[in-house]
Amino acid sequence: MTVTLANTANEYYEVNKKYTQVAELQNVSVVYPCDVLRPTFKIKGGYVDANAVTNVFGRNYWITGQTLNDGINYISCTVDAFSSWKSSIIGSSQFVNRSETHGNPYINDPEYANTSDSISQMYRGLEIVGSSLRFVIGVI
Amino acid sequence: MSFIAHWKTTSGFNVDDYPVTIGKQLNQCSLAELTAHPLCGSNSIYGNITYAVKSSDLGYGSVARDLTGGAMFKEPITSNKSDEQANEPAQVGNDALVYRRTIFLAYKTNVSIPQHSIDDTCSNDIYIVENITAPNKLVFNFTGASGMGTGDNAALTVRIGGYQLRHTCQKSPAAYASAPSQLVYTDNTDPDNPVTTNYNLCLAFVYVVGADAFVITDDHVGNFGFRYQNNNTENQYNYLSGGDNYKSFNSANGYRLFIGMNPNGTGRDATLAEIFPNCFADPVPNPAVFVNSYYVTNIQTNLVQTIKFKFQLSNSTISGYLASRQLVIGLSGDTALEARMQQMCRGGIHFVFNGDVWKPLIAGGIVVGYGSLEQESELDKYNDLNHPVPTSGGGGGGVGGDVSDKEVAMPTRMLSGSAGMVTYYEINKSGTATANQISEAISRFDITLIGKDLMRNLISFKAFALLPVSLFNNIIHIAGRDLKDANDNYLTGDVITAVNKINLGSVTVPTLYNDYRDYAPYTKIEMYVPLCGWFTLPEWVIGKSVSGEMFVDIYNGTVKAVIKASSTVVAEVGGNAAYDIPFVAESTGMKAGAVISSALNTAVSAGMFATAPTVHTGTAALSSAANLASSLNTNATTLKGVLGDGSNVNGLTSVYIKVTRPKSPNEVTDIPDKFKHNHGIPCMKELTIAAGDGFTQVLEPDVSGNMTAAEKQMIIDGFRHGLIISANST
Repeated sequence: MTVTLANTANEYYEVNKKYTQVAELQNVSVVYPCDVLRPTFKIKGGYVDANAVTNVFGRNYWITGQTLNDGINYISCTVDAFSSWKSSIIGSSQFVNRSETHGNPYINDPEYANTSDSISQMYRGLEIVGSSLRFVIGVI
Repeated sequence: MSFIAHWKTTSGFNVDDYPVTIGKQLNQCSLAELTAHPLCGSNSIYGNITYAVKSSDLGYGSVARDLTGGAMFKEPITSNKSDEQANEPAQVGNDALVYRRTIFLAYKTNVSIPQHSIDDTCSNDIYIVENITAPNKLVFNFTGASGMGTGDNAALTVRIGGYQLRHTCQKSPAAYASAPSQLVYTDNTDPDNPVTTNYNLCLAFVYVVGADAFVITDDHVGNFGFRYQNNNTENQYNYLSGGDNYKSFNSANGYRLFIGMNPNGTGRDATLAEIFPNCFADPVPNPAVFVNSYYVTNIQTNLVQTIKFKFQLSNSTISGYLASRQLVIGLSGDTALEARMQQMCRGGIHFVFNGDVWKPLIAGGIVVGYGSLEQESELDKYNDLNHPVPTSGGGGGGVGGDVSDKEVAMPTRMLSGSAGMVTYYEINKSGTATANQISEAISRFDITLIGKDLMRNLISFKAFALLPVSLFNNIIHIAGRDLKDANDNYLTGDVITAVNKINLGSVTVPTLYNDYRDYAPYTKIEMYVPLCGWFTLPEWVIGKSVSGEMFVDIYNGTVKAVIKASSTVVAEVGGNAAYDIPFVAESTGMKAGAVISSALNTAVSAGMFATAPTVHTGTAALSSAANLASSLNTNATTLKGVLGDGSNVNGLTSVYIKVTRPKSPNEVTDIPDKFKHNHGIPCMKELTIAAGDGFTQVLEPDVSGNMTAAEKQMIIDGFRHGLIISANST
């Protein structure tokens, strides 16, 4: 089978990861028994500078480890469900609790802590009391 | 002969403050209208008597002349002819030296004027006499110099009340001597020493009997004078001879000598020979009637206006004066008017004739000329004489104080008149009323007092702390001063709004964080309205314009501030704009003004009217809450024993809005972008996840697809943690 090794700088929880191909290897075999979500690939050769395997079994994988033994590189992986199923994620309708771009700043956010200190500002309006007085006398 | 009485409204006082009745008979005018000069107090009559005696006239020895109750001022002697002299008719004789003296009338003590000699440089031309108590008389003596001879004429000018009463002898002493009936019996008016010696000095003197002053004169030209003899009763002088039908006067009982324009059997009459604009005679002046009435119309306020009455006497034996009746019998049945006039006229110049009391009609309350006296000059302001004005002091209850007190503008606006039984007056604009000012103002009110006692009629005395302009914006002047109908006639009556509205302005409360921190519970908004204190505004006024209006009830001093934001009432708070200034029970003989003044002084000393403290404004943090006045500030006290928190006159004078917000933890107002990227901010809405949404947290995600259950759970956990939806990778 052909296996594409790649690098991605995106974070774990990122969807829509961007991969940079490192190598496309052919005649790669799978170590059996093979867990589709956690496969191990046997590649002839040495260490490969990659952190992802893409497009195998219709999924993308994080490379979790490389074991070298007698000219064989055993590359263990785990599925990256977020990038593998980004189509299911993007385009889905969700009730979003927090959002970076669609958030409402006027909703109380307990996660953003405030200090107990406070500041006050005074805004002045019209002066209606004079320094002098006016006298009114009432007479029957 | 004739005399002209001038009555001119001066620019020295605001005529508008003294309403003039239009179209009334003179004798129907109120005292205020008649004595519209501020110098005419209840017991203080001011006037100037200037007498100029030509040197050649002083040859007939000393003459004692009584001027009772007058005060005189010194003024520099001039050896030049005065203006009056210049207007004299041609004189025969030596008139090289003229002595001029000005006597300023007031109720002052009796002082004998030193003898004046022709040789005297007249350094004491003006004499100040003070503290006169009735009955009193001023005596000044002229020592005639030798040299006055036949053919010399005497000119004596007497100026009273700013009017110059001037009499000129037309005949020589010799002529007088040969015609006793035509002599000048100036000494006949000496109540103590009636003398029949004739002199050619014609002196019209002011005789103050009791508390009044009036001028009498005798007709000197070709006629007989008046003779009076003391009947051994104090101040009781009986007519002896001369003239017609002149009445005796008794000062003790309020009667005054009256000399009217009386016809006599010889056909003496008095007609209004010349009527100047603004006045007209009774249709048919009736010489048979003692007094004719004259109408004065179209008196305009705020204008210097001269009203002249010229009476031409067909017979020079007539003496008379222009006067108005103090009380008008049957004046529209207006007993209240009569009562007021009676009250206010008491002590002032007035005459009693035929049982009626008449008030002289001249500015200042001083009788103008009459008979053979001619008033030439117009009213002089007292300050034109460049000498101090005597205080009225003596007698019974004058307003006292300097004349400068009277000169102070007293707006004396009636604020309300129809609210039940109580009428409210604003008595001072500056807020620093003195006792004299208050008393003066009150005395000018056209009010009917119960029991004729001002103190018993006072039911409230309040000091309003609100700015003058803002308090009474809606008050309309009354008494026809400011209102006119469609026919340009003044409206009378009271048109007063008892409730006034003050605009408190508006303040837009700005946001600081532009997020939830600008609102409760993080931010607190408080508003301060002077006289009402502090109160909380709802949070949603942040970013909106907060405006307010204050409604002031002048009757009880209460105020209510209605605060709005975006046209929605957000607060209604009440307070009190007025402090009650307590006035103690009337003391015997205590003047109303003094009582009120005492109350004012006490209130001030009690700290009622302290100044406002400095207030921090802007964005600086308040260093001390003490700078903010509290409606519970107990510095405000009343002396009535009722300690109210109400007004905080010594607090802030403007409307304020105070916003207290939490302090940001990182000294920035905006939420950091990194926080938003890693944590997002509350969204709480249904969205379609799209590329580039960034951090997106869904607590209960709905995940579908062909992923395995484990992958689905991973996605769910990711949503709950918060996925970062990057932009498309292409």
